[in-house]
Amino acid sequence: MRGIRTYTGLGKLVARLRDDLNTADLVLLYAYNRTGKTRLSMEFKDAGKRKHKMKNPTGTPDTLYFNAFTEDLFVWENDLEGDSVRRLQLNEKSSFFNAMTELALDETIARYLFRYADFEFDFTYKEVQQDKDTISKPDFVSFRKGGEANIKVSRGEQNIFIWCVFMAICERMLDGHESYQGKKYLYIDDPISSLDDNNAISVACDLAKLLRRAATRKDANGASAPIKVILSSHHALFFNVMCNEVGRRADGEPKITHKRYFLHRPNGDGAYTLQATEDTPFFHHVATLAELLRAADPAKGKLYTFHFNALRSVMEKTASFFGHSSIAFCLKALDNDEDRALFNRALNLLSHGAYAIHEPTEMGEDNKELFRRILRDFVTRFEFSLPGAVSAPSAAPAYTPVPQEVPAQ
Amino acid sequence: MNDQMQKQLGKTLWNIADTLRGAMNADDFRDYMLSFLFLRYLSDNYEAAAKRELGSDYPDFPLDVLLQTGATTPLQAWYEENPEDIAEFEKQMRRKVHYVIKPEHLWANIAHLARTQNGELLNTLQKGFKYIEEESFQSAFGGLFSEINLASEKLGRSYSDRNSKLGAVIKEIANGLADFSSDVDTLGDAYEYLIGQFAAGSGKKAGEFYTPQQVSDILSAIVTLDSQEPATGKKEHLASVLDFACGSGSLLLNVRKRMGPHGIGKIYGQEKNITTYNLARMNMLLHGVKDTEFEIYHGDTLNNDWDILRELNPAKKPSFDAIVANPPFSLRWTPGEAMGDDVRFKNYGLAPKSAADFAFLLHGFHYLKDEGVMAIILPHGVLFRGGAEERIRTKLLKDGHIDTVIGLPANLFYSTGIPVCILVLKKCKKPDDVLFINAAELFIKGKRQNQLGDGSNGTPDHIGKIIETYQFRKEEDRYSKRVRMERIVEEGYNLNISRYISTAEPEPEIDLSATHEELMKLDKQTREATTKHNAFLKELGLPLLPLSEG
Repeated sequence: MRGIRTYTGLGKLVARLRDDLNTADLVLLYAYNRTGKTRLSMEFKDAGKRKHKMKNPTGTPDTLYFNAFTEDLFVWENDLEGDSVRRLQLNEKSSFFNAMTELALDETIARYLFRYADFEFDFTYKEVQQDKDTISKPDFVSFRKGGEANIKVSRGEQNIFIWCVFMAICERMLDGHESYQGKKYLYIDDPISSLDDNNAISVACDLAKLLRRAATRKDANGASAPIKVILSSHHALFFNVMCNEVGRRADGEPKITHKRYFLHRPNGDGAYTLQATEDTPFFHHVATLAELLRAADPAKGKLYTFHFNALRSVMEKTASFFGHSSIAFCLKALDNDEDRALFNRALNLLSHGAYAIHEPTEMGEDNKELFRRILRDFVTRFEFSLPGAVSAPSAAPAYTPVPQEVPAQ
Repeated sequence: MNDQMQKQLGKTLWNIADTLRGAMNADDFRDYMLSFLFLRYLSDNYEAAAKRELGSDYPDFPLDVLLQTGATTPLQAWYEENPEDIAEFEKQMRRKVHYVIKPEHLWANIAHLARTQNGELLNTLQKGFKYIEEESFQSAFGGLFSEINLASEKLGRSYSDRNSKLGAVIKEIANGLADFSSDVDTLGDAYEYLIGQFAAGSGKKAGEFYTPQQVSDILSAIVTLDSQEPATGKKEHLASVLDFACGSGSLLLNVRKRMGPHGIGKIYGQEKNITTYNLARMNMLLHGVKDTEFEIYHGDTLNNDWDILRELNPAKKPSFDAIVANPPFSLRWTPGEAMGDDVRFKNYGLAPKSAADFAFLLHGFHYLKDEGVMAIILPHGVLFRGGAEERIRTKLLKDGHIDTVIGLPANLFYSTGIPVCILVLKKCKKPDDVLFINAAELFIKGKRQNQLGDGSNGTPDHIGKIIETYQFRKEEDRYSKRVRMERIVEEGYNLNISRYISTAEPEPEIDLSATHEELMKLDKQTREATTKHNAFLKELGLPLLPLSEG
């Protein structure tokens, strides 16, 4: 698709996206807040529930849909009276939790959670009558840390916990677990609100891995049975990392096809526009560079080892823009040989193995210095023009994603 | 040693752990702590044997006397005085206790180095571990301490940092242990206690290596009963017992405890996690199981890494009298294409990728003796999940292999709160029904974990009730029921316990004649009251209340 397409309503837009997914494995949508992402996701889900003589005679929903807030999957019970047994109540009506009834997912959830946070959780189950059977459904989850039980976790911690639950469930769905039979689509709507940026990156890396599995999924007989995915986000850094992660083809891994759109609603009349953001997305690298510069700020920033990856990814894009196939092109432009060798080694050391990416580990002082030097050289040498917000990093709190304010190209 | 002291020792050790572990990761601390405990056990055992071996030649002097000679252990004094006899002595020890420890590696010396804050402590310890691994037990204990990294940065940056840190730990342990006897049972139980405590404290991610004692009690009781006629009681002897996901080995040890020290021919265990595997081996030795009496293998059960289990000659195929297991629940696995033809699975089908529960079950079942019995803990889901699991379940039921289904309460395990069940399987079973036990509602509510009562200290005997119900195949309303196959077929081979045992409280029966009498009485009272009331109304000249027809 070239240029800008206009759709007069959500229904038409959904038809377009579903059509896209016939050929692509994945659609990535970027949209600002209040564009209508959430309504779009609901519409997409509902479209998969409509009865259709040929395609869906029973009206079985074909989409597993994740947005922790619209379905209120989790609701706080603060125990205002006793002020001690604080817990997160699960929405038992949501079919999202079906796997939790049948499988012990705690360890999988814990494995993800361990990368981002340091609290423990306990699910409590209750017996529920369902048709002829009594089965145990998860009732609520409580948290503890150190010796303290039933603590209330922060909004950010809660979000990351919910995300981990989602990842655990999603894994089993991709494995073809019974509870999610018949699902063809996965719609992930804005998975990360109120996460700090380092978590945004590691979440994106985890997710990209999962999406790769979705695209190459096989059924029990070994036939190809992909789950098609739509992911929407307003978070530019997250979106950017997603684009880079799914765009990159890791060794020995199959390529996944995807489309990226910038979703916009130009005025209040209910029309939407989609703009493809192809391989030179609407300034992802610039956004990333801005992010990296901020992280590299010795006074305010915090450098994690995964920033090496982000930097490499920008270098890769830059190299390919100039028609070169590898980042050697960018590295050659750097000032001294020693740094080049060091950078290569740092990349290899720090980006190897999943954990380097997933566990946000702060860089050592020597690496920080190296990183700053290379970044400075790189930005100077290639004369990047960075958005105004970046040149005065001290004004912006490290937390606000810069690109939000910048209009689409 | 009595229960009281037992507890005391456990607590002492746990307190040490609690005060010291802050400085390092709990899992790491566990490994150090348990290894030191193990070394102390090996040392004591060795010194006792040396004393017997050397008889009156053993220079059994108190430490202060020894120290004047420059030795810290009697054995060292003996070594110094009889250098030409050392080789012969060690040969004897190897023959008798299957291992050798050099005097400088003995716990007493290590503890002495720690007390005196000697800079050589770390090096000595390192050499000691290495020596035990490589030179003892004819190398059967290779890698036993492999996960104990004494050069780890976690202990400190420099050698001397690490040295003093470990020194502090060892000093505490030595002091804590000093008052306690070192007989096998004591240390073994203390070890077990610590493993339990560590499991409880280590969170979801790592709690899986431990089966709570109470659940372990049920499993071991079931497999030690006569498999064909449980009612006749406990078996005299088990030729072999296997736990194919043995963790720290506590389940196996529990079976052994029930059978007595000579009741089992050989104990077999397999464990995938290397640290836990080492823990299991130490645990066995600490409980006085000789190195010839058990075989623990480090490898992946689902891949069937263990050579002895892959014997191709059917005549030599290993099989076990009793099999127990608490495999990781709902583990994701990736069966390769060849897995479908694997002898273990080909008659039943492959468990789905999303949950390996049935793969574990079939693995064990394949190696069960015809007259053997297997008890395995799995999530409730295996009772009713559809798809491939339904097919496996159906086949097992049709072939008459599922003997008993026991539903347990939620929240018994550290790793998950999901309710679990015990499946009892047999290759040949006499009754043609399946016994269902709904034990899910009988438990003692705990703060984080629920408990099963064992009848002691005034608790209800939940454990005994389960075992007895299994043993005598008893039926009891809302608790247990023998269900005929026809009925299970009607239910489409769904084993969800609630289909067979209703747990709903029955509506109280209504005594019709009593109710009738009661109503008549009320009616009479109403009429009397109205008549009385109307008398007043009449006097006042007011309209009367209507009287019910009567």
